[in-house]
Amino acid sequence: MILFKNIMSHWSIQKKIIYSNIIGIVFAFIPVVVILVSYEYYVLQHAVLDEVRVQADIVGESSAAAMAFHDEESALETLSSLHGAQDLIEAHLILNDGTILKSYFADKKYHKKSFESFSVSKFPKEHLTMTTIIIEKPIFLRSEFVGSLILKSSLNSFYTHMVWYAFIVLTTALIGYLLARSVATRISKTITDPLLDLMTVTQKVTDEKNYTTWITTDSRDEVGNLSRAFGEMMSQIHKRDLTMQQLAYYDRVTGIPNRHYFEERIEQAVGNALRYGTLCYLMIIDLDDFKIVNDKLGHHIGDLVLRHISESITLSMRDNDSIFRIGGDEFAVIIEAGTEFESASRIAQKIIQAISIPITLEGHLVKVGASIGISCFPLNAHDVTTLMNTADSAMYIAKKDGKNIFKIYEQNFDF
Amino acid sequence: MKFLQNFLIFMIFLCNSLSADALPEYTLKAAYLYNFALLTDWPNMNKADDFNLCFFREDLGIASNALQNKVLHNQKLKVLTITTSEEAKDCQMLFIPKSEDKRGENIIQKLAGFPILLVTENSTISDAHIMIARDSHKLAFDVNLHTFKNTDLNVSSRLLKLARRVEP
Repeated sequence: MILFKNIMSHWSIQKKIIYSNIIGIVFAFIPVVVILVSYEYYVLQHAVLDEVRVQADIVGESSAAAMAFHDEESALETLSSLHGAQDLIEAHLILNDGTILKSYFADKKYHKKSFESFSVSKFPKEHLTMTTIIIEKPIFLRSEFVGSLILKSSLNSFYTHMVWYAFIVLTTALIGYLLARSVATRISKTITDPLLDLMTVTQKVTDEKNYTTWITTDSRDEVGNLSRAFGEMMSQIHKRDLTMQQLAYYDRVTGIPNRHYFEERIEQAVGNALRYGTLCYLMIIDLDDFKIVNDKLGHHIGDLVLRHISESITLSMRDNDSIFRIGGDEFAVIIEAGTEFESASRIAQKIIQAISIPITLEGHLVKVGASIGISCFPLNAHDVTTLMNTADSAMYIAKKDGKNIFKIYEQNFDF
Repeated sequence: MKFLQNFLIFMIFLCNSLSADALPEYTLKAAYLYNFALLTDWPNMNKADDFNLCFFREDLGIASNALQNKVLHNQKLKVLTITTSEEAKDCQMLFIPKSEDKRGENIIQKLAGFPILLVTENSTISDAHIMIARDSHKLAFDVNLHTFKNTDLNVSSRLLKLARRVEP
């Protein structure tokens, strides 16, 4: 049983279902076939025996007088009634003194008696061998024992019938088995196909890491429930991923991408610029006097200011540009793809103007400024680090030069 | 004592050799007679009585003795030899041998109508029930159904089937 379990553990569910069906069918058929064939064997053997007994009765009855008068002609006449009796080999009428009155052979060429000596008896005898039935029937003429009839019949047609019967039963069983197997295979497919579909989807999800893959199922069985549960689980994983991504890549105060996102994005932007031979500008925006707002009006107002400024910057730049909050009062804008130097300057100017407009928040007039440093890859930097450093340097120079201005990096900015 | 024992053994041997010496034709005739009786039914048979198989004047010797005390129709078979028609009236069956043809014809006429199965060996006697004849190398018999009807004896169809000739 354990070995069986071990072998089966390597099989697919479909194979297991099909084989369990096959084994079930075979075990169901074995007793049916055995019982049918045994029953037929029993019934047919009795029928053959009965037939030979009836033959013996008829011949015995009609030959009684002939035997009493030792009338060979009449004896032959009664024995001739056996002509055409199926399977009869030979018949002998034996007188009560043991001598043969008349013999009859079904095969005219075969005249060799299989009985050399006869011991007639007043009691009927039946002798059944593998191939023949021998019946010895005492014959009485009005209760007077006059001799015996010996009938020898072959079992050839019995065996022929049995072989045909077994053949038909086995063929029927085989047809039944094939039908049942084909039906079992179809039914097993309805179980395994949804499982295979589910497996394919799972594999696809694992490979593509795409948790939005849709699982469709109409099935109301366990596999259907499993599919739906799996879909539900994937959707929850997807939601959790989105939340985690939001937490990991976005700033909670302003809702715009954070420094973490920025670091990935700037790498990507520099990579693109390098690949396509385009320009990539990095703009570092540092708020002036934001610390004062925070200290005087509290963090709540500070957060509102930051949100307002992130919106102002977003409005000032183009759709393709990206904005990030990379520090407490520090923002970054990545300007990509064939941007002219002038347009970068214009965007910086628009941002400075937008930020410098005073705003009223919860009854407080708030005024902040911004210093912007701009650097360009590959004009001012040869990699991400130098691009960030040069942009930073330009921003510090702008702050030093009186705030609310922007500076584009120049060689002499280096300290 | 020893002498008596030897004598008995001698007698047994003698009997055996004598019975073995019975003519085959006589044995066969005796068997025929027995079978005729077996296949014939008598009216008003009393089981307590004996079945008298009678021979007219001359029996079949040892062959007829072999029939003595056999059981027939649940009756004990007695073999008798008779000479007159009066004696014959106690018989169920009477056999008239070939040598007694003349006297036999007489007695048959006297016994007409009695339920006695009459068996002869002479084809000229018309009132007998059964006539045994030699047909080439074997024995055969003819049956006279008319006589059977007149005497209330019933003959089995199996006997008629084996008969050489059946007179209606």
